[in-house]
Amino acid sequence: MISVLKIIWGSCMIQMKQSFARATFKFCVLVQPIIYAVITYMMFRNSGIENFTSYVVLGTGIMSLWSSICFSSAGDIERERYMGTLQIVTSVPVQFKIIMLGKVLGNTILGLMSMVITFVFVSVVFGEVLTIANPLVFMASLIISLFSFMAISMLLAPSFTLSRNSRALMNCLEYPIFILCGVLFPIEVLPVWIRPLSYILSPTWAIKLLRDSSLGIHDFSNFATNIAIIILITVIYSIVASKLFDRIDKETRIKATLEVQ
Amino acid sequence: MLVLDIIGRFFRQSILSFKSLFGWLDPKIYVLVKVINPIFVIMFFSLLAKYTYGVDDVTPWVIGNSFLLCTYNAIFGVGNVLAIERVFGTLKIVIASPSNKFLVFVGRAFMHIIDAVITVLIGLIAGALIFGVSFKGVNFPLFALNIFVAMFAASGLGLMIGSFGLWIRDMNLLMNTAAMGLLALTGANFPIEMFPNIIQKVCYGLPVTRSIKAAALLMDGGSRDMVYRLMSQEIVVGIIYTTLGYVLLKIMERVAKNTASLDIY
Repeated sequence: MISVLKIIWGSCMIQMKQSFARATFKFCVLVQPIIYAVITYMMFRNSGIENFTSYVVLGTGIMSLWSSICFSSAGDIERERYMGTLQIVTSVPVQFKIIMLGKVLGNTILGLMSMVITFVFVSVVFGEVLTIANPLVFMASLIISLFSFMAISMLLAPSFTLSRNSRALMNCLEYPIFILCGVLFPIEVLPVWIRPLSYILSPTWAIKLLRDSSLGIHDFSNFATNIAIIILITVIYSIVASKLFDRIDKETRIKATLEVQ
Repeated sequence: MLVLDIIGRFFRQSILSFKSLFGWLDPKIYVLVKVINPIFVIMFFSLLAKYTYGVDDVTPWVIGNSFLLCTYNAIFGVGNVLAIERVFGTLKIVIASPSNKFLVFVGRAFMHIIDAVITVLIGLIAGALIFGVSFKGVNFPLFALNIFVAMFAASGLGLMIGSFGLWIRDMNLLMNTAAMGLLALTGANFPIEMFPNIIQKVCYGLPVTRSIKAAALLMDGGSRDMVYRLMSQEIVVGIIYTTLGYVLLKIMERVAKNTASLDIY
């Protein structure tokens, strides 16, 4: 167990160093949250919506976290292939999915920075401080949300590997998620027939939990149900991701397509 | 005959560079990136505006964000031209060739202007179908000319950014920042009057800002003189960026030759 944790941590550290060396990732983590915060703050400022700071800070934070996951985790396998290191990573005596888990953890930690940057930027520049009604519950919600983002990231990584057009796909996966998951507006704005899609996406529940715990929980049983749902979805994502990794591992060995660009 | 030959070469180069460097040889990807994704962008900002401003008519946001769809071509297409030439190993041939560099340079942007106009139209059609934006009574030729002018100006900015491709290894940070900067500073999603004076000046120094204003005036049946003035100013903005881009290209070319860094990546 300790050796597995050591591997995850090692992979995580290398990933953070590699990711931060890439200009796109720097943009996602450092520049994008600030510009998103400016746009959303300006749009919400005269909206008359109470506690709109929670929408601005949490919404833009989640948007940037999603972008960093989308552009990094989804492209990591392709990048390893491009660098010629994919065959080494997959043939070491550690499961490939364990190494990928470390990479995803690294991306999530860096993505979390964008949430902090948004918080600091909105507080300092616009003088709007995000007040958190239930700090302990908020921290618990944040941890659960990060695990759920890691699970969806683990699911995306092998899924994108199956497609030769992963780069284009990952570029097209930002705005649909922002819309479906109600990152900046409640999903009640969407037509009823499309909402089931929102319900099967964990970011929908993550943003709900974070927003509720920062604004104040009025219905604890409803909040507990939301937690149960996000945990259930995260477990399902993790199982599917694990199966996908196993399948890719087997298929690439049979078809010898691991290094096919 | 010589002039016709130059014009013919210009168009051939434009089409060839567009097809090869923008990577649209796969129609599936073109549809995904240039049709489906723009529709989601328009939907996102229009729904956000609906929620924050509590309005039913989202015409200004559909118009503004449709114009900003040009960033796919003007920033990411034109801006990446030289960097991709380097990846393909053809940059040194382009630089060393005795052809007119200005025509080569502008030719790389020409098809992107046409393609960007198509993308904006896709955004506007999506806005009309999904949010019921009405174009009744709009002067279509003038509206189309306004889109064309905006795309020209935006491609000028793209050319300026693109010239850094001779010097900068990874263009992504620069291109993404420029695209997001346009999203925030051109008044597509909120009035630029909300910014402090100094930032408003920056907004007016950017392409597309005036075209969005002109489009809004055309939709509302506003002053035609104002529309003409905004469009003329937008053309000047485009010419300034294109000229700056060309001057920068010559400077970067000299730096790259002196430091022997043209093919380093």
